[in-house]
Formats: sequence, C-alpha cells, structure tokens
Amino acid sequence: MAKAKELKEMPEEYREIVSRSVLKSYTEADRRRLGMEPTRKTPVFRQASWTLYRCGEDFKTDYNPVVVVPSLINRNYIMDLLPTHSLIEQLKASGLDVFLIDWGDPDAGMGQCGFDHYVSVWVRRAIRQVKRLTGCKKVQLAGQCIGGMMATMYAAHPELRKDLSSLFLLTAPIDLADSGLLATWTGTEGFDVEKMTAAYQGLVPAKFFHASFPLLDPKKQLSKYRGLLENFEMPGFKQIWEALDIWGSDNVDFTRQAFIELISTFYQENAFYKAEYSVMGQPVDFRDIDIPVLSLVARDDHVFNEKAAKAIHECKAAKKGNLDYHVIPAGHVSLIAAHPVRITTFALIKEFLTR
Amino acid sequence: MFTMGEDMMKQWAENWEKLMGDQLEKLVTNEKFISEMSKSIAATMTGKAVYSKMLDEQMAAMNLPSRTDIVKIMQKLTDIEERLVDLTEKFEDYVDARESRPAAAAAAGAAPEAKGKKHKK
Repeated sequence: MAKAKELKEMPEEYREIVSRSVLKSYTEADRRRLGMEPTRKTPVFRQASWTLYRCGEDFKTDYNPVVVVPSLINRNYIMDLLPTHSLIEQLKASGLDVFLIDWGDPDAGMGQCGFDHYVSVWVRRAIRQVKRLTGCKKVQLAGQCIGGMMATMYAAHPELRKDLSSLFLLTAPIDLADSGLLATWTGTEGFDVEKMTAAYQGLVPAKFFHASFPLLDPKKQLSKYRGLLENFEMPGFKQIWEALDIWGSDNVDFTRQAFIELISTFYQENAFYKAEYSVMGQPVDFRDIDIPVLSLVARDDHVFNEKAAKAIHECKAAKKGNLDYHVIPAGHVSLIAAHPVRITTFALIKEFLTR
Repeated sequence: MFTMGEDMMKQWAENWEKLMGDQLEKLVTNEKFISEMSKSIAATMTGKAVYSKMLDEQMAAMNLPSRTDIVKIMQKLTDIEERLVDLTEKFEDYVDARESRPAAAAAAGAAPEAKGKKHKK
C-alpha cells in the first residue's frame, strides 16, 4: 500500500490571504501591492457619480475610438485587472484610443434613473464627449455583461446608432428567458421585486443582492480556498486569485429603478428580447442592428447561459454576415481576466476592432 | 498509528464539498424553497417600509427632515445637474456650429453670403 503523504503545514502567506478574503479586509495597499489597474487613466468628463476616462498616454490611432461600457453590478477594473490580464492594456497595445466609463457609486438622488436614462443620457453623453475630443464622427462601442445589454440598446436605437461604426459585446445577455439560475429565481411565483425593494429609497444596497451571488455556483464557492491551496505554488496564481477576490467583493449599489427594470422588465417580462423596452420613448429592437458585431460568450458562464447571448444571431448584421460570434471555453470574467484562454479572446477582439 | 496524510485530507475535503455542493444545488433550484424565501424577504421588506414610513411621520411631527425628504432633495439636485449639463451641451453645439460655418463657406470657395464677412467670436 502506498504510504500516505505527510500533511504539509499551510504556508503563512496562504493563511493571510484567506483571512483577508474571509474578512473582506482589503485595502488600497493590497491593490497597489498586486499592481491592479495597470493602465493609466485620465478623467475627461464627470457627471453625477460617473466618470469617463481616456486610457493610456498615446492617443494616436488609425481607427475609430473605442468606448467601453462596463456592467452596473461590479466595478469596471475587471477590464484592467493586472498586467497581462487586462483587456484595456491589450486594446492600447493594438493601437486603439480607448475610453472607459466608470459608473462610480450612485447616490440616492439617482434612484429614478433606469436603463433608459443610462443609455439615452449618460452613454450618449460619454459618446458625445469622445466624438468632440477625437474629432471622429463614429465610435466603436463595447459593452460587458449588463453594459453589453446597454450597448446593444444603443446600437438598436434608430437615432443613437448613427454614432456607431461597430459593436463589441462581451458576455452580454439579450434573451433572458431560461437564461440560468437567476432567471429561475426571478421567475418563481412570489418573487415580487417591488415589495422586496419597497424599504429602499433611491438605492438598492449591493449587500442585498450580492448575498445571493455565491449561490449561483455553490460548488465553486465551497472549493474556493482549497483551489487556492492546491495551486499556491503555481507562478502568478495567488496574485490573480486575490485580485479577482478583491474585485468580487467590491460591489456597487444599484439605482432602485434600474434594479426593478433588470428584474421585472428584463428577467420576468423579457421585454428587451421582445422589443418592448423603450429608450427615449422609442421601442428598441436588437434585430435592427446593422453594423458589424463581435459577440464573445463564455461557455461556463454561471450568470447567463449561452442562450442569453445567442439571440444576437437574429439581428440584421448577422443575416448579412457581419456577426462574429465565438463561444470561449471559460467563465463569465475569466475569459478576459484569468484563464489562459484570454490570449485567444484578446486576439479575436484585436482583429475585430482594428479591421 | 493512524496518520492523516495529505491525500486522505484532500479526499475528505472533496467528498465534503461534493456532498454540500449537491445539497445546496438542490436547494437553490427548488422552486418551492425559492418561492417561500422570496415571500419571506418581501414580507420582511414590506414591514421595514412600514417602519420607515412611521419614522418619517415622527420626524415630520418634530419639524425635522426625514430620509425621504433628503432623498427628494437629492433627486432635485440630480435633475438640476442634468439640466445644466444639457444646457452646456447645447451651448457647445451652438459655438461649434458658428465656428464651423465660416470655415465651411471658405472651403466651398466663393460663397456669396460669406464674401467679405469675418467670423466673430
């Protein structure tokens, strides 16, 4: 019988990392130590809680500028996590002029701002600023997760879409019916979002809805610290693990109107897929999108399944052969931030945006 | 003597994770459980909303601003800021249009109405 290996003592550094993770006691010093957000960003426009940043230092380019719309649920630095694990860094290395929206921390006064407001006022305003700064008439719009949904609304709107030359979607849902566990939860009898948020004025606190997120993939949550220990000696693993943990625990409050729309209008009624959601008073139908589209979907996405993004095939661009659609064998954020497959992801994005 | 080795510990952890994971997965996909949880949260939050309303009334009785009042003021400030940025954009568009008009006329060659006119800022 093979002799059992002696149980090794856990490294002190492992204990410290787990302690910080469990207690969520991350500080700015941890972010600096890890070298998070490596790309320099200059604020070019600020309004309410959101800021528009211009990324990098060299802005010369032969291509239309790229405007990145992040999700509302977490912070935007998932797109600029660590050196060599950064989408923004890759876009800059491809010679693109990149602008990134930071939604910041909304305040209670913004509680009535729903998706219509985010798209028709704030994203439009960010694009207007980019056009003025660069002198370009059109931009390439990129959106991640819920940000991708907002970018799709922009590209589908008959007036707003005139600003765009192309659309890049990263794990962006469109058809939310049967799109995974979140759709199951919100579709259950008795799930009344108005009642659930009745006590909140203006904002729905992040801790209210983030408490349920670990339950989307319970097995992964349970093996989280064992996975870290098993790969502890792998070069770079603990850094990326900790950076992702910092990002995952850095949650943002939702404006109440946006939260109600997300659950009730988009999940329960699937209004965006059915072209029943209006932006600036006009219903938007993603099937009208007629500019080149790149849609990247994560095969192992625990937030939305592939079906949610696949609907993009119904748009005009797809029928004309202007849709690049790829399913990447990775998770919701690991396809750009962690997994080695990110190299493939970056290559696909670069090829599309520098056409 | 029994020694708990690394392999045994790993096996134990994997078994525990699988067992717990399977049970949790069953729970979070159980419609009855989710429905009851949703109703329970909705009832708690409705109660919290009633309590907040009572607090608002007490603050009003003491002539003090409540959280609802402060949120209303913050909404007004958001609206005012929005309006200001709108006006700034309109002004910028106006200035851009004025500045580009003489340049466009000059580029077009001898546009009669542009002749002899100088663009004033």
